[in-house]
Amino acid sequence: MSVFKERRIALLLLAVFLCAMLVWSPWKAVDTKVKNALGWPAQYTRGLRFGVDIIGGSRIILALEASHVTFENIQDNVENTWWGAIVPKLEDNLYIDIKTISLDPTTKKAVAEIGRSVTENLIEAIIGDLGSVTSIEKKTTSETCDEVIDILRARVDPTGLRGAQLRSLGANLVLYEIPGLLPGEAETLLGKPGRLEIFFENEILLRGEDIVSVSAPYPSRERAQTADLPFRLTDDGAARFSSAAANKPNYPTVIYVDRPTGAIVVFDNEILGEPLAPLEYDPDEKMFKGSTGEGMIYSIHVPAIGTAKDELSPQAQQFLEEQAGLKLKVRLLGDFSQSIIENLSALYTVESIFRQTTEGTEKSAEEWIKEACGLKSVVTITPELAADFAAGKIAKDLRITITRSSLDDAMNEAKNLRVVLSERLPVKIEIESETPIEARLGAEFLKQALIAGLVALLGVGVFVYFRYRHWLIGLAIIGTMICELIITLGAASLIGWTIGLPELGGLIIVIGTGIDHQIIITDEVFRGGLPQAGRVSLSGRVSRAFAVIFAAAATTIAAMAMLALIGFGAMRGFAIITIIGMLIAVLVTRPAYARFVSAIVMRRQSKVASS
Amino acid sequence: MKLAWPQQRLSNRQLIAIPVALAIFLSAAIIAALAFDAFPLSTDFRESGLIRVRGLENIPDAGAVEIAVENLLDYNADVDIVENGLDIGTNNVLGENETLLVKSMFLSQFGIPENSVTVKSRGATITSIYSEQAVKAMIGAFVAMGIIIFIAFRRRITIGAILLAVGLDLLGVFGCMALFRVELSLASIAGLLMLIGYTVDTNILLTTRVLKRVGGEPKEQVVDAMHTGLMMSGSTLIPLFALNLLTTAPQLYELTAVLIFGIIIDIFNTWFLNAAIIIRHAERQRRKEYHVSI
Repeated sequence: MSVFKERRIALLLLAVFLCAMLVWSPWKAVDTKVKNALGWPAQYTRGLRFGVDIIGGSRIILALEASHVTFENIQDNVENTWWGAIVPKLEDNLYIDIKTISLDPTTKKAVAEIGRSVTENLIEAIIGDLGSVTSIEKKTTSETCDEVIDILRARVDPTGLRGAQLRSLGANLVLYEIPGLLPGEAETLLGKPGRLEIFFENEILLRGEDIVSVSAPYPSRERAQTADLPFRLTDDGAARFSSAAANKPNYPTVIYVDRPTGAIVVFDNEILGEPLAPLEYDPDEKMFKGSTGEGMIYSIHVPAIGTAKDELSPQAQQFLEEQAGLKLKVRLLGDFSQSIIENLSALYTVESIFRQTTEGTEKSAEEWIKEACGLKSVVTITPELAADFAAGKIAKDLRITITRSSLDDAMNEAKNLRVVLSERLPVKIEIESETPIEARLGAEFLKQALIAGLVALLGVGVFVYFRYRHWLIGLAIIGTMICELIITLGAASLIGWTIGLPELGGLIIVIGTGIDHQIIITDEVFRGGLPQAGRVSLSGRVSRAFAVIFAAAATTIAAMAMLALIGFGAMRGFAIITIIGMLIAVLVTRPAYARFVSAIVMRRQSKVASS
Repeated sequence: MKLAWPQQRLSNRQLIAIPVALAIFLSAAIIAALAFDAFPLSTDFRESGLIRVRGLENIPDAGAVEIAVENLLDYNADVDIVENGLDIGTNNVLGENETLLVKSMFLSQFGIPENSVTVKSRGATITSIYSEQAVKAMIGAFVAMGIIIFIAFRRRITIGAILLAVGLDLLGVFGCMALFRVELSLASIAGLLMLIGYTVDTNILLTTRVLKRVGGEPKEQVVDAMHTGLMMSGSTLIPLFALNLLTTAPQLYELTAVLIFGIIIDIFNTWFLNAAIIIRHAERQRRKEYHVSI
């Protein structure tokens, strides 16, 4: 039919095709959690992220416990007393970040956010007569909330593979949803910070407990493309660090998180052929080594051995047999044959480190090796610092200096490192509520939904047929519904939105109003009821229908925009999907449908005229 | 068609009386439910109980445990099997006596020692802060809707009539939920939100047809628009009933039930209440024009 040649219809078909590909995403791996919950359709929805409502899991609401403390009568030279005495005293005694919200030297007043609940007596005992406490309020700033979310995300789901969601619900509440885990397991993840180790000259120098606090990174004033990340050590940690780093300019400090102490990395020899710099493999020590920009060499303290993909090399075989019992796990880098995996499973727990990221891209060989070894960052001791330490200075407040190819890269790295180093959260968290969610919408549900869907389609088709006595109209309505569904899902996949129950609601509303609007169009185009209807041209009748449709869609979109702006959690997802779907429907699919119906009417008129 | 006889035969007052009576009846249902503290709330909105059984060698049959707990407590219980035990969610928080009863039941019926059973209460998923934000967002949505309707029609009476109709739809849905014991949960909240977008469609159809078209008597135009409107509601109700009756997921049941209530009530609020207001408004305006032209 000629309508298919029109640009509008061609555009629609193209959009449907692209969105179907986005939803299918055959280049991505099938998520096992989705597969367990949904069965075979998981194959065809690889591009979508599903929420706990659909694949089951836990929904936990966390409450952040922070206090805003107002200080008054701060002793003379307010700024010095505040930064030099009160803040350090509080940090050292409470072991928690103190965030200054306001400091006014003229009125000698200050407000600080302290990341736990405190009492007046406690604070006054710590600061003595440096000032007095006038009020304590339970409150959390939104920056603190975002910070906590970042840190928790790094703990719970550092690679993004678990599909955990952490969102602010406003006030001091954070929503934490994780698919496939029961609340107990989900809670354990929250509580477990990464195990931090800082190596210097091949020995562990500092651990997580040596770090008191890490502040926000800032662009360095001294060097270009460089970010500074200030942090504070405990007295003990500072003493150890100062003596170790004295007179060692440019020496690398190597920072690990969750270094696999009980594991051996087994890699595919082929990756040695890829560009690895600044890493290289040392076959004698069976370890990877790296070099800094200044040419200093450091070892990566995880034993590693290379082998061919389909058969263990004799050296690898020998090494792995020697180490059995000493080490418990192997981490595989590469696509090894089944026989190797079986062979290794006899002696070790085998774990594969995937090269593909969740976005479907490949990590570089360097990133891949670093991830397997838990290596997070390498920073060097500046010559000034080394000289200061040599002069006997003990510094508790240190800066990590990160230089990268651009300031943005350096700042990003610094931010990531901050998350890694912040062993302690800036505030205490309490569990407000926890709900396990069964994967109810599982395979059985899918069968029911398919039957219900078929019945619905048939029902609508018959209903529409009885009204218009035209089977093509029924088909067109159903076709438009399917197009709208696919395009909206494609858009959700494109922006990486997680599909949960509220989002499904949004989809239903888009399709539902779709039927409404198509009936408005059809009625208007087919009308003959009113005497004046005949006088309006076909295109006039279509634009009349769109007057109603645009007004209705604009109203819905406005209402949804408000929900998205003010509402949180469930409401926002629902509103965003509805807005996207409505826009696509009103601008693309419904005009295409109108064109199709007009073509049917014109054909009918020309038939009448010729007969 | 016969479907539109009330609009053709009844006076405006009679037309308005029907949805008003319905609204009063359903409000009474809400008030009664609230007064007796019987408005159906899901565990998303209130505290519930959790019985944790841990450290088991052999895990008993989940169905048997569910029946045993339900018989003992009279509440609905959900049993989840976890790694080395069971999680049993109950509809209400367990009191001290009930805790003892449950523990002794596990000992006598399943041979599970008392110290492997712990009883806790679970907080509401949707806390007071959450619901406060929901109310604010809903009010915001109504205001935004009002503004768009005003831009589209430039008449105060239409904003009033449309917002009244949509507002009464939501009120009516709460009434039906109380009557038919459909729980207020995250899913039914999603349904209520959807109704804001849904029910406004028919109202805008009605207003456009009556106020923006020339020619024809207002009553005729209402009847004509109503045919389209009923067609719209009918074709939406078919898939909703199919989903509601043919699937068993509780979330989907709540969501579709809310939508079905809303769309049915909306038929009354649009084609009786809003229609009568608009007919009256349009007729008055015509009369004015008539006087001017003379």
